[in-house]
Amino acid sequence: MSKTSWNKPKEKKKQIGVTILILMIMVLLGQIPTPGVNRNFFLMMLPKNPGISIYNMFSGNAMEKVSVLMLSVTPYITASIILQLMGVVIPELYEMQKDGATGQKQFKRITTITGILLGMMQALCYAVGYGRQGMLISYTWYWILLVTVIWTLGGAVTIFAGEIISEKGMGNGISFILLLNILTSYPSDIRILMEHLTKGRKVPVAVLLVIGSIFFILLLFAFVILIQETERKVMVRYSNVMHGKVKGDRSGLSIKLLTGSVTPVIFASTVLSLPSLIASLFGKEYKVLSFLNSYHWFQKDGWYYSFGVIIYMLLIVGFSFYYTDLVLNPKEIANNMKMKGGTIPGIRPGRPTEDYLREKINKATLLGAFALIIVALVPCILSGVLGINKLAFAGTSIIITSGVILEMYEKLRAERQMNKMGIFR
Amino acid sequence: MKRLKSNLKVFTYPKPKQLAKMTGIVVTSAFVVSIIIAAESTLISSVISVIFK
Repeated sequence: MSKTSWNKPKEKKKQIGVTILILMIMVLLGQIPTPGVNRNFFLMMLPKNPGISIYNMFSGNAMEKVSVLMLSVTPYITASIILQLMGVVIPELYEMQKDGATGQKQFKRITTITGILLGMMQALCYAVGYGRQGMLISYTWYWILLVTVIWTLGGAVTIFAGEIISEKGMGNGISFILLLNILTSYPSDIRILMEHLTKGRKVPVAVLLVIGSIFFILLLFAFVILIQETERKVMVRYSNVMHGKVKGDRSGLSIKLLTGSVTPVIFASTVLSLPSLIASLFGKEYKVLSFLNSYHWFQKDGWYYSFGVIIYMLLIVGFSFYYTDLVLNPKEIANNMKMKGGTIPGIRPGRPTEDYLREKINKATLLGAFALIIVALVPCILSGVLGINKLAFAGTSIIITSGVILEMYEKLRAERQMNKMGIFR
Repeated sequence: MKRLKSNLKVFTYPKPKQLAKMTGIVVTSAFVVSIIIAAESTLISSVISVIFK
């Protein structure tokens, strides 16, 4: 995040400029092809391995183009998933995430270093695994080393670009780059969908289908925004003794339906796609892994593969609860409230408050997890029914798109309001 | 179903007008930015293909 929440208009312009400049540089770098690599390799491989298409989507089709930024933000995302999950086994990591700004800064630094190391491992695995299968023009140690170094540097550059946007730009840099990568796929995906809907159909039917699909996409966006903005307010009354008088102050604790936003879906999809990724690196195809592959779900042939959806749903629910516990721990909230003299009307401070909050948070998280499942399953159902492999503007990507855009919009609106009030004049 | 309905009642949702406005902002910005990115990508990739030829 930026160092200051409220900025002067001149500073704001500078922040917007830095963000746009960095993002434009990322688009530019994303177009540079990696030397020594067969550019058609991933174009032919990806449709056969849709399990790993999530990596292609998060890298802004860089995998398809075999660009120098092929890894993009994926090592950073994997690192943050691993480190957050390791919080269960290493209490220091869990405490660090909860330890205010200093702890979070330290945690971010560890995530960055782990991300770069993971990027190096990922680049080496791709170079060796896919290089053996024909990705490299010449499968020699020289080319393996060169490609590994280029992709590792590409991953590191992406992480540092994200950090520059976070420090000097408009906010969470990694989210911005992830949004940029997702938006890169929109035009081509719309073209694929429209071609699929109109090909070989009479004009009136094709027009109706196109209008219907536009309406459906808008509805999906509206549903995602609705669940992102839905929250439960818990009234908290604070009593302060000032100048010998007891002063009451009311405030609301908001429990969002999607506390972890899209994180549980990203976690679940990454965990589910890992076995397919590892198998594809060895050039193997195991039938059993089709259960974990969303492309095989909801299809007439091999309907039994749809049982994999249950694993996906369970992972989303599990990660939703885990992530919410990291962000909203009822015990900590109850203790903080007690220390600041706050009480929930009708509930005693301490343990009863903790139990009350836990019940409310759990209910909201469960509802949020079900809503996330609905959104996450839309592209799986569409790909099963329509036979379209990738649709970036459905499911997970909509949550990321609307989340980042709305956050930025709210921030800009609030700052404009402050400027109107003459605070920075 | 009755329990679910009563559970849903305790949440606060954006009003329909507000939701429509937010959807409009998100969809418009997403598609405008994606078109700009696509244009920039096409331009850069054509320049790069000329350079690498």
